[in-house]
Amino acid sequence: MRILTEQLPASRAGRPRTPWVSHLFWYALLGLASLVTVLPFLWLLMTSLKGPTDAVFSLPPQFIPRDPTLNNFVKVWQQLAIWRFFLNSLFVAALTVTLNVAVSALAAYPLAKMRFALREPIFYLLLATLIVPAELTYIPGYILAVQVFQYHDTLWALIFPNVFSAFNIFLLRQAFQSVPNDLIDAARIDGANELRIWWQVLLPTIRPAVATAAVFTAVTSWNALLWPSLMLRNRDLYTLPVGLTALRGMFTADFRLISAGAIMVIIPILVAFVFAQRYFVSGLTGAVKG
Amino acid sequence: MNTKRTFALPVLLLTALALVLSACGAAQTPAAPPEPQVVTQVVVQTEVVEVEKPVEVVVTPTPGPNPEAVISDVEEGAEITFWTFYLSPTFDEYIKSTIARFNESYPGVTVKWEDRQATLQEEFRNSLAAGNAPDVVNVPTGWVQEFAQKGQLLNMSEALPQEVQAQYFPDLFNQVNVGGASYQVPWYQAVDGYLVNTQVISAAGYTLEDLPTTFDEQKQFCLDFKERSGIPCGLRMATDNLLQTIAYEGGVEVMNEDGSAFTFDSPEAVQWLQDYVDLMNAEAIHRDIVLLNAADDRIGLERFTAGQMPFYVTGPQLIRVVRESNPGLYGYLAMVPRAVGRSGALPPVSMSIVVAQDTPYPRASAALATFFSNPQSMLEFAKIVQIFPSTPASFEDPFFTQKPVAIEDQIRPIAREIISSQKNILPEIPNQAEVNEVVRQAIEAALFGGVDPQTALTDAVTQANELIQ
Amino acid sequence: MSRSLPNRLTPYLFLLPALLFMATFTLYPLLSVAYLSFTEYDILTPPQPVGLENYRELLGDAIFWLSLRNSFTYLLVTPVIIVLAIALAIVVNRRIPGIGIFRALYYIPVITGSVAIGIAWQFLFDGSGGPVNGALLALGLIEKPIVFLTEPRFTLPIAMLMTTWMGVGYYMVVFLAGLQAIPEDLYDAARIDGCNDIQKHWYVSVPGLRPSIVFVAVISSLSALKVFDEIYVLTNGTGGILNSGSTMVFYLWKQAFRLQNVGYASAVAMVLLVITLAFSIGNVRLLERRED
Repeated sequence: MRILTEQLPASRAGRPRTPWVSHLFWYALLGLASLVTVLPFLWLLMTSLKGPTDAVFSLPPQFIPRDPTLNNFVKVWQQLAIWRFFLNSLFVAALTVTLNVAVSALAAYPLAKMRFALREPIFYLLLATLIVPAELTYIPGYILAVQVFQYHDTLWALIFPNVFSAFNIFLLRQAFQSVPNDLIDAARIDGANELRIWWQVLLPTIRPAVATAAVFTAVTSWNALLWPSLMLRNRDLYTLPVGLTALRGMFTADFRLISAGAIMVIIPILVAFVFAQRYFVSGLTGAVKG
Repeated sequence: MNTKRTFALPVLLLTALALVLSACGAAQTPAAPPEPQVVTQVVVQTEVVEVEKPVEVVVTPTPGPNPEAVISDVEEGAEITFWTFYLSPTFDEYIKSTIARFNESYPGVTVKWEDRQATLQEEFRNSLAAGNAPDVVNVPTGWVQEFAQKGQLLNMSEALPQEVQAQYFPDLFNQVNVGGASYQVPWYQAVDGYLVNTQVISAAGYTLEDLPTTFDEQKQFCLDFKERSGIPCGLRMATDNLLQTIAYEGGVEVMNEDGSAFTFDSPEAVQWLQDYVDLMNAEAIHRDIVLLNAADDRIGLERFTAGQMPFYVTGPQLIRVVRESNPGLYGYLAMVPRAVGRSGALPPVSMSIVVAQDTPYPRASAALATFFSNPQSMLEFAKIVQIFPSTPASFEDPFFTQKPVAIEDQIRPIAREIISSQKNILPEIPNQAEVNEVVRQAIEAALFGGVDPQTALTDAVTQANELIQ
Repeated sequence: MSRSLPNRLTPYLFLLPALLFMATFTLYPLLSVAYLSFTEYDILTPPQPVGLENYRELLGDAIFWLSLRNSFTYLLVTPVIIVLAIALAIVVNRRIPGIGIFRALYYIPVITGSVAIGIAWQFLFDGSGGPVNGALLALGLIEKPIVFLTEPRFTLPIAMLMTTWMGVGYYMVVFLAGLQAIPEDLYDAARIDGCNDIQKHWYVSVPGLRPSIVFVAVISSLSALKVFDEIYVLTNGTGGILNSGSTMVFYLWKQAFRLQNVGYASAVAMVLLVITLAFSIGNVRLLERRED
């Protein structure tokens, strides 16, 4: 609780003038809004707790299970190693984020702070790739993975194609641009080479933007479905979305089991998010100021 | 996961298979078993029976010392990859023990087994493109034609000796006709019927005897049923192969004699589509079930389980799913043959095993394909789940003549007759996937877009003919 | 300014890893697809050059034009997301007990992923007993359940609703960060000027959020143009009755991976590329102008 309430500096908008009345008003508003985001998941949760005699679909809809059971969770757990999917997703996300952010930050620096002949063409080239839909690259990408790199059916196949991100380069370039030139000049006069300037002077100042890029990349990697399902054959290597699709196929006629599986996939993410939330939010602070 | 009792298999086994079997392109066209009154008895109490009979299987005479080794000149030291479709983890034990038996018959061949799921079709296609395709693949029969037309599959009519081809029902072995040859061996078969909710139909004043036996009766039944009870039917077309539905249900010749042009805008076809439009306009069928993808069959089944339709066309292997999902309903279930289409025939609901054309080990691959579909392997499979062999010899086993107890097994004694009468009446459809898309557009336009059936079908025929120019 | 060769090489060295990865995983596939757009290719057999045939076919393809229109219609989610996300950010930008829990709740849709959400939404909009039908019936707004996902007119709106629903929490965080970067003096000044709470946000928060708004507008409109997941999960991969939910990327995917018309799909992709390129250049211009 303390973590959740203390992560942000004092708000500018709400002043503790008439706390109870205004609190009540805000809680009502917040509660209403959260109902909208949470209701679908609550419905999923309720379905996952339904016993055999509870109807999944009926009119009027039955929300609360009359015959609640945890059996659905037990069955899913016995059939699918969800913890393993979780670890796979974690591994892929962690490596993708690290490599992606490093490569993006390296590329963003000269684009923001150096003058060179091909700066504009390279920038626009990078930017143009932002609009290339990933689905477009799947066919050639598949043949690359199989014939050239031969890393299909490994987790690396999910990592390397996602190391380059024009979006992150663009984001970090914006951040680098906001760093005063004096800071760089001072370091140059001190005799630091460009790599050291990048690492010791610039990166620490744009840490919030780096965190933003990391969060965006992690979320994308975490939720990717189509490409991983083309690459992964070994069930032990499944990531969460692929595993969830497999589950949807396995428990094809039982919505209670599908719901239970979906809930089991959501809960660890939720727990992780509650603990890492301050990084999500603080990571975005200042990331987009011009 | 203790499966000691034959009738106490876990639901997961069946739910997994539900998709497998429903994904085979189950058409709405009813079965035409010689005796249409199979099951009319409602079993309220299920008895658990132990079925442990010695396996007696007639096996084709073979060149090798092992009676099950029917393919000669298998490559020494062959290493082959075998993909199955949605069978793991439920059937791991069966697959592994069958591979072990295969290794006794064909020592020196290494089999690497992988189970593929929702993406099998795309993965197989991509792996063929990339040159690393698996050697032996289990696919729903409806997918075979595409790969065969592109020359990616081994010609089984040439590769297999006559006596091995003869181990299958001929109409199943030849059900995919590409240039007059077969490019698959038939694996396990499903038999679809009406799964009936007797509670729903008796509340509307009907009995099992009143259920329709023909496509025309089915239309009238659904209209009347809606009128009396307010509950619509849950009819579903074979969305993977709509021409199949048109041909079997409507008795339509979908192509001309020499296969050069489509003809599914004939008066019969228009009548067929008009029948559905009538049902739709009367709200006598569920809008969201009629064009449901085969892979999403469960939505229809769940709806049936919730008591929102009188019957649903499905296989007996799914009854336990219903039972698990709604045990109170189980006592009110019955399984009866479904209505016969105007063609009078019924489409196979079938799984195939195919061999990649470019495999370095064609003999070993053919050996594996025929081994998994040989009478003994098929019989053992049929004993653990309600699927049926493509091999007549399997049916000699007393297992198939025992008096069934559970509702889900009641189709078993007549399964052989049904399976042996299933055949493909469709000609070879070039460019099938795209033609199917065009047909789907026409049906959607008529059912949901208010387009006149004649116009919709005539447009579709024009477009489809352009596709095969 | 005269510089040594190593100095002149420095920027390129920094760019090298990114350029290598870009060349391998984006440019090569892109060029390959550009080439394929002039061929007939089904993945299984080698590509056959057909010249401009694919593009000619596109012109007369009604489903292509429908997909194009749907993609542009989809851009409507951007302003809606921006307004809702700003409102939500203003609401959660206060220090009251438990606010962190609420922020987390709004972020749930972002982190759960489209597969789980697609399952939940299919339940919600189920035509036989989904909560949405239940609620509408209870409120007396409809007389009998609507089978939402089979009604062509509902496919796209429901997908857009899902995108909005998934996106608001995501962009709320961006705006929250933006709000916290606004100096408090500005609010104090506004208060002294006699602004009420709403005016305060209109005159201070909204202008202060301009960089964030531009940022969100660019990102969310690009992803709206490329929408795929929502359509895929909601329509079970069919694109909806009568292609009512088909978008550019969906049509591209369907042609390439469902119908094996890789050449034709590549032509769709090239059109998409041109449209989004024009769109992005416009956006960048907007951004660059602001920086001046």
